[in-house]
Amino acid sequence: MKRFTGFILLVNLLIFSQGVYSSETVKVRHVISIYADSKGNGFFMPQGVGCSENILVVSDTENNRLVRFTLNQGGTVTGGEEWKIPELVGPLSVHVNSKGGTLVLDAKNLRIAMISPIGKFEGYLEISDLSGSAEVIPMTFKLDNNDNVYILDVSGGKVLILDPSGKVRNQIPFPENYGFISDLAVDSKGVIYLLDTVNKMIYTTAKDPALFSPLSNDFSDYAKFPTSITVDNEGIIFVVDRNDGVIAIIGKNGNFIAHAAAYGWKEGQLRYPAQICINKNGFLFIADRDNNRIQIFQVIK
Amino acid sequence: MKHQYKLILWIFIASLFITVSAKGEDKFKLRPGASGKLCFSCHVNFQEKIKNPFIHAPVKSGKCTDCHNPHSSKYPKMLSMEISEICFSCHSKLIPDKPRSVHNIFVKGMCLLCHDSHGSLNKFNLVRPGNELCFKCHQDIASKVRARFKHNPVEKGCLSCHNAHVSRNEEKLLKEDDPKLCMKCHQTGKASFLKQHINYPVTKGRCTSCHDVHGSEKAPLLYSNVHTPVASRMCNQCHNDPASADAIKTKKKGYELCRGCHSKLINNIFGKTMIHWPIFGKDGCLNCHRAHASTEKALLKEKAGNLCGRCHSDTMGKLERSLVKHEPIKNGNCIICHTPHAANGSYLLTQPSIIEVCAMCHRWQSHTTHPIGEKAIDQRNKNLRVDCLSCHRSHGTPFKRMFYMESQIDLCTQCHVEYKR
Repeated sequence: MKRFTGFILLVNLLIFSQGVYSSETVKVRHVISIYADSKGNGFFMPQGVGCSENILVVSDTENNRLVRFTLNQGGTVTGGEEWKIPELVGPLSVHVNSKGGTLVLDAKNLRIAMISPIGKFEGYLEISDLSGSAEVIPMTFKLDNNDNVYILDVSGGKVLILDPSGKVRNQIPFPENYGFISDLAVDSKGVIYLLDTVNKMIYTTAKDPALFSPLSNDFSDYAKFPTSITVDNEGIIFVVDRNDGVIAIIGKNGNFIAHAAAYGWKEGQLRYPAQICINKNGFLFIADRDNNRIQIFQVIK
Repeated sequence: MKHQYKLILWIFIASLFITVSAKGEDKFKLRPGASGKLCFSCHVNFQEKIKNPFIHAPVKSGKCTDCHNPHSSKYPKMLSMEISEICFSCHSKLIPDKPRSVHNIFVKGMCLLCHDSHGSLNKFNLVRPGNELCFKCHQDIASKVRARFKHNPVEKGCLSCHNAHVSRNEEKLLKEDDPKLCMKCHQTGKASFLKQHINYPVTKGRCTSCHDVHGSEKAPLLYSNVHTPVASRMCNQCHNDPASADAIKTKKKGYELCRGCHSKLINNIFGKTMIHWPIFGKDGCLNCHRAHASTEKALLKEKAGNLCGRCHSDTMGKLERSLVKHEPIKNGNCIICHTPHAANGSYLLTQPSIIEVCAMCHRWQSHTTHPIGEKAIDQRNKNLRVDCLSCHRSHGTPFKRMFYMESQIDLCTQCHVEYKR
């Protein structure tokens, strides 16, 4: 009997270690939706949302401007200062660094613009020490905790890792047989996640920092056209399914946990969402592009 | 004693033989020799069938019960299992491990589309002879065979180059990969061949990147649309010099190679704020276009709808599930509404606004008086203006008129809440 009990315990232990049973319960609760800057000027097709613990910056793409908010406890916002920067045309992905500065991808110039904490244009991030002469075309980018910049270079088929000054520290090629890589995420340990929209897969450097390997199998049952990805402090992954207006929540092992939001107009629903950002306080920000608003959710575990 | 053992052994072997040969008869406890003959006593038309020169082995030996259940069945024709299961129970060896390409109807178990399960005038019990059978489905190829310039092996039969069921290592059911297959007939070392190909080591590439192997209106079997540098035999516009060690390699990579001639187009793309990102991918323009020649206009890799659907499978899926099929998408004309390269604004539209795109085909004023446009604020969200997509989803929905909701009342009362019951 003892042997049998021991065997059953061992089997269960093995099953748990393989992540077959998911103990992760993650829910997402809608907090507020933001529609306009402090003067009441509404957003128009916002495609970027950058966040830190106390700052929220919106890429109000078709209004050619950035809008900066202060984040309060509980996920509410104040402020909403408009930054009209003549050098910036069609701002896309946006991020806030540890010094309160903003980095934003300029759609027309396909360069990363650096904006000071008070909204002053400080120039473009110049990439230096890049081997080879190929042109870098950043489709999107992310920052890590040390303000290193991770560029998704669609032209080179690689992730380019730069220090905050733009000096190339590393380059990691996309995995073999990728479909189309549309976004990346970096966790607190520096592990990179790549989102493949066409193959509906996530690749990661968790196993080998120099190589992307699949984290998940094809998750087309959970996301039909995944385009944006972010990862929280604990390694929980949030993937935006643009065409279905859904957030797919994926566990550390690539296991599907839950869906959040849905396609629609009501607050908490999404229409063709673009960038997603999560801060250390567990607030999730989404550029709800076709609803011309930013939506804030709280992640509950 | 020794003889006794021999006798027992012979009896055992004989009983084993009888058991195996009378498997079907045993199953239904038929009288010895009754199988087949018994069925033919009613199914007299099969007497003619078995006079065909090619007869399926179980029919020939009268083992009707190998495939049919004479008493009852949940499958048509009183079959004992699904057709595919029956066929594969004997012909399982037709499927190798992990084949590179598989005939679609074969994996679906639609064997009877090609084979007659009882007997036929044609070898392998085929329902039609030679290419006639293949062209029943592959009509596009059939039309090519009638083209001005013909390829001899195609006229001899599709099986000159293709396998019927699977190819272990090759694409498109080919017997060998391109160019190895072509080189079986074409002597690539000949001076005339080299001259024709401007001394480029084309055997390192693929013949089918230029040649339409099934037949063409253009000599020498070229696809109907040929890239100008290929047509003017100026391969070195894109490739290294033919005498160089890496002659096939292109001078530049991705879109940068195409920019040399198509600078206006590429510069225009760079001037827009919304880009179709695959253009800047590793393969650049070749994600959608062929470099040398194509059957499609603009050297597209395949028909526009299919091409877009390779990445946008979810959008094509919406069309399949849609009650109303939006004509442009149904016909693969995605480029009526979307520009494939770049645009200013979301959706890569061909017109400045959604309303203007829809107005290319639809005169909205004639079917509704609902206000739309800049002055019509969407009551669901003050940041939105009412346009066609406020009520209709352009790629389709499971509901009538491509509405977002099944009930029109539910749709209207999203804004007109005062009428909500």
